[in-house]
Amino acid sequence: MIVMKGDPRFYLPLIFIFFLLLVYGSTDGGAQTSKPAEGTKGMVASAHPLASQVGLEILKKGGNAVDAAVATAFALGVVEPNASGLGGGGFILFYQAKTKKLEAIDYREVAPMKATPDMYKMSPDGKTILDKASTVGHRSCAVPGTLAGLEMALHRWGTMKLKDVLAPAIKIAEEGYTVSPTLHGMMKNYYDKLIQFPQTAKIFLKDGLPYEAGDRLALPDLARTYRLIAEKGSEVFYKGEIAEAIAKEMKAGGGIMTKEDLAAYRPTVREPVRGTYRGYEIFSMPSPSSGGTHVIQMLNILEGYDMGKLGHNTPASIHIMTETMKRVFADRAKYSGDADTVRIPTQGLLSKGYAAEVRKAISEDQVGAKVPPGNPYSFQSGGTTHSSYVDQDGNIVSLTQTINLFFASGVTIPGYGILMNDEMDDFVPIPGNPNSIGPRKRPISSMSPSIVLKGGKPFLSLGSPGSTRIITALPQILMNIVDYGMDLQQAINAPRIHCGGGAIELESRIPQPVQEALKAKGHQVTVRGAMDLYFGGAQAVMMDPQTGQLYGAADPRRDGFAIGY
Amino acid sequence: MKGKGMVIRLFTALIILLLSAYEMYAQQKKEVKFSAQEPALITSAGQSADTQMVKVLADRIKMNIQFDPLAGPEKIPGVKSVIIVIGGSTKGMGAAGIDMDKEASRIQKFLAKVKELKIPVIGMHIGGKGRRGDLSDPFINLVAPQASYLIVAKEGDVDGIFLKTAAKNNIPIVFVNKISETQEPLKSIYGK
Repeated sequence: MIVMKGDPRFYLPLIFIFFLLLVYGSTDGGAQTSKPAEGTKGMVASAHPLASQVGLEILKKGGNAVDAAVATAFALGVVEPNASGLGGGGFILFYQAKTKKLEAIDYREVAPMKATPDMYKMSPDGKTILDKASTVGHRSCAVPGTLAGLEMALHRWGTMKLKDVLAPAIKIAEEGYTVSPTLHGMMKNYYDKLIQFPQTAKIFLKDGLPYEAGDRLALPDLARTYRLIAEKGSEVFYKGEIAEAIAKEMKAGGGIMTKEDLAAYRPTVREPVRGTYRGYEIFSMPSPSSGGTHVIQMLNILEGYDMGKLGHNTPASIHIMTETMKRVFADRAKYSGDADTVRIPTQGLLSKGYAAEVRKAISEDQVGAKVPPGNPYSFQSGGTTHSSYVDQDGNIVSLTQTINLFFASGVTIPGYGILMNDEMDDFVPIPGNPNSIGPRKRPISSMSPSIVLKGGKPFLSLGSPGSTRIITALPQILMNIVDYGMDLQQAINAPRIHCGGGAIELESRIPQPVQEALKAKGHQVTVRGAMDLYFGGAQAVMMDPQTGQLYGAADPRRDGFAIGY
Repeated sequence: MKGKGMVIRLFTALIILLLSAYEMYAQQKKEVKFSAQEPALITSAGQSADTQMVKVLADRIKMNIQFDPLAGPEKIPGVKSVIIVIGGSTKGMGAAGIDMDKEASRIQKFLAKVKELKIPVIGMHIGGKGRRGDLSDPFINLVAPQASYLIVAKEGDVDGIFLKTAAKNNIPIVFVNKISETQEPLKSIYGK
């Protein structure tokens, strides 16, 4: 339709924008883009306003931070289905106020028993996997861990029943919700994947085309699955009718996951990795996440520079950060793997001594062209969503979970609405690497749910989606607070950079003269969008250790929303 | 503070409303009747999945089409009009085993043949701002000036690249707010 003045349809998108401005910007205690949300009793920051509202309601009903986190995670599977859900996995980090202890649950997906290091056919040059088999379709799916992990968290640390934390998500899935511009964009960008799988297209396309922003999307199959789980627990998913449906679909599509794989899945309790940055204590995820280790490694290296004096996003500070990132990613490529099956020099990578050695190789003037990994052994002794929570007792949760790439493998389990992960792509597809594929092995991850203490007291719950950009986003956000004195929302909103080894990728808000100065220094520079979701979608809650005041902030790069009371 | 924020939001919404209404009014005055015949060949400039979406729309209105995102000039003699869906995709070009240079070369040869045979070209850009930037703009610059008619999702023309090209080359252009709305100009063009 050619939409003209006078045609009521012309005004619909404008009315929608108007509605967004009003609703997203005015909820009591909530904040999305301008300044942190505030509260004193509880705070939730997640990737979607409706999911954050679910978490807040749970807190108000007397649930603790874990109850809120689990309920929100189930809701995110509905309102942000492109990023996480029952078909995926993740990590949850918990600070218990009463004992002052931190624990983590690893519910990362595991490779099926039939997985082998050479299961994917490579292109003749050995650089790419043929037919995208590790990212699209049934052979890309690893055994999902989300439900087992969330259930374990609830039993171990929570206070509510599974059926009670599932109820809000069921309601949203049944009644539907308004598709946001972000979700519409995802549906457009991943249209080729969606149309490849009729079961998935049936759910996420409207008459063959992406849902438009403002359309209503309901997920009745997923609602039914949630109801089944609420009634029967995770058994029905891992050993019952859902396991049978998953195994049947995998077999039909040429996948290798079996019912036995699902029955054998177990989440694992892990001890977080720990580091410090200018007196702040940082706790984050250990292997199989590489994220926590390398976030701390990066901060250890950067601690040796006066970042405040170098200035925020100046050519000098970006140069130092970039050279640090290059070295961290070189180490990550060489050493990261599943610590349950291979030896990882975690302690060396986390040590201040190793950081000092790495610093010696960084020139403040020269650009490191090809950066080799270091040798942390000599210091050795021995696609995604993030949400953060604090409850009135001071318990803290930092949760990151994923289905890997947006819309994952593209495979949906017929009748159950479960979009299956493509986590097999996080392995190295050739033998001989610590992160090579192996049966029941967990692929490495960049997910880094983190909790920061200041003077031994809770200070910050932080994390982000964004693949390897997670590892570079979190140090930048923390430095924005510690070195540049920004408030939490400013710290999240500030322009970000990333360097995985080649060009510096940066948001276009970094001024042109800075970009030119970096180029003049010899850096390759790739400019991305002004507020580009490529650089993640961080959600955080900050606690003032003196007053107990809570601040929540969410990332405007996606649909993040923080709300407190 | 809250009241002030609300006033700013209301003011912003009002400005958006007025500006958009004015621009659409200006567009209305420029509307030109344009028609083309079937069979139409739908191809891509940049290999984005937007081409698939246009096929869905064409199928919906029962157009007689040939669909070939990688069509070469040899395909043109068999059709009476051409729809080129503009939008660069790394994934799409990667899957097709081509890079931007090869895709641009194909499009150039394709457009040369179209010009030679005097076949009308409908240029469509429906991917919005997601199909703008270094990966897509070179294809816009290739196709848009040579189009006989342009159908553009408004979100993709915030900088006026299409509007300016259309004005400079005297090309009729229509803007739509949603992908599904591109069906209407197609119906109008093909008499459906």
